[in-house]
Amino acid sequence: MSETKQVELTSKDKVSFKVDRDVILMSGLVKDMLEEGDEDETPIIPIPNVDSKPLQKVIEYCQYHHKEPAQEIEKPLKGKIEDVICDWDKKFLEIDQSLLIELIMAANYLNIKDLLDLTCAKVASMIKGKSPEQIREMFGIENDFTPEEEAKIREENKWCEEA
Amino acid sequence: MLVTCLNEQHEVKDVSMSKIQQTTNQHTTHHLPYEMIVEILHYLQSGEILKQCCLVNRQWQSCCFMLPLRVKIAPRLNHKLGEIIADNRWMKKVCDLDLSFHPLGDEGISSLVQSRVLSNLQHLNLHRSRMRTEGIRALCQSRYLMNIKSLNLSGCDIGLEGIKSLASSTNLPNLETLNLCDCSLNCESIRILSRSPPLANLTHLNLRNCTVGDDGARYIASSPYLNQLKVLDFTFSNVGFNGLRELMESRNLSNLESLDLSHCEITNEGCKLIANSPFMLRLQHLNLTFSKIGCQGVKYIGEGSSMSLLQSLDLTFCKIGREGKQFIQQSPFMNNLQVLKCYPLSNNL
Repeated sequence: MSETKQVELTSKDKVSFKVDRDVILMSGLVKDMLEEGDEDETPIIPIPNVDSKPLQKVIEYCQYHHKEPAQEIEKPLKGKIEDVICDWDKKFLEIDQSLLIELIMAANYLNIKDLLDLTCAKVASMIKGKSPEQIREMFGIENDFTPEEEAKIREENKWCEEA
Repeated sequence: MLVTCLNEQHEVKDVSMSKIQQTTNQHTTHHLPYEMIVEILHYLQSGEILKQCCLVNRQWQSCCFMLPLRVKIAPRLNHKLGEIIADNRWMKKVCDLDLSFHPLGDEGISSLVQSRVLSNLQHLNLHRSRMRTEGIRALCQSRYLMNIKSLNLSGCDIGLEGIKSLASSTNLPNLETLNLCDCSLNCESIRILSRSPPLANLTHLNLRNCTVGDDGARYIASSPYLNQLKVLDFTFSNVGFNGLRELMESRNLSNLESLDLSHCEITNEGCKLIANSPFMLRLQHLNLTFSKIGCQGVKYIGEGSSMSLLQSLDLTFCKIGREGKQFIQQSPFMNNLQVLKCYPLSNNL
């Protein structure tokens, strides 16, 4: 019986992860690198932009979803994200906000579209129903508008309703 | 477990989550590049974009400005519509504009369609906007609606002259969906429509409540330009056996995926035509609500070789009885059927 081929990923903070090649091929970046490289027994792939914690979550995601393809998430979200994703994804997203943001960046860098969609939709879902003040507070964003500019934008967009 | 960690010397070693956590910094959306914020905002509705997100800070505002917007302007703001459209920078980003129930009239429409800011519009809903002949003429002459893919004119009294304008306009080259429900059309209107080369990209055509009868169906069936149609709605249009035969024998309609003939004059023999049409092989949705169909008609459908892709069949208020329902449910030809509506189940055949 032949052994499953593996790949070794090394994170920004120099932690290495061995993962099945089939699993990590969900990453467009890794796939391209493997196609370019030699047929090593266990190729080592540096992931210099991603820390170990988000990388571990990425691997966890790929391990589940390489066999269970993710369903497309509607754009825009009409309700809560929990209504449109599977139970596994709901559990997967039970993480703090900081890690969620890191996961978005990791998914983007590693070119894993389904994970990027999931994490972006999660952040959007957190924003839903929040005032601009609450959004700023939630993400630690500084308001760089003057009060006059803010009032002007509010006035400018009063007319809008959803189509 | 497949995930194992190696230390810096690449010696295999288990690493607990606590060690991994120590290496992680706090991240906020400050760390997100511009494109990622745009990606997140794609999951929010246009109202949330315009009323909340663009007020967060300058970076978020410029991200919001990257998004296509789908908006409705409430009819109560009709008196301010000109001002909103002319002066609002966000209007340039609107791809879907719903002006249904605005009492625009011909004058309002003429003024609206001359606005350059609408040049990104892909979907325009003018349902019951009191548009008549002059309004539709102005719309068809506008140079700013070239990107329009869907146009809802339902409930506008555009009549024959309006159809002539639509049929001859080369300013709507991307039009795919046209809703002409309740537009006071007659047979001649349908003839003009069916002979229009500029409408050759139409995939969705709604002729609900246009009582154009068999002749109207014949014009659509024989149109050399409407051969991309996927969705055709003839509800309340008085199509009977002869019109249906024209539709079912039309090679031009072989792309049809959805056909609505509810409240028409469809009989058991009509069902036979539908079920055996060699050109309805892609049909997925068939609505025959309030047709004059009994158990025999249903048997024809259930035995029809053309019905293998059908996913939904609406026989509401058809007198098919329990036997008819069972026949459909047990049909070996309708393996894809997911929705069967046949309320009420009357045995009064």
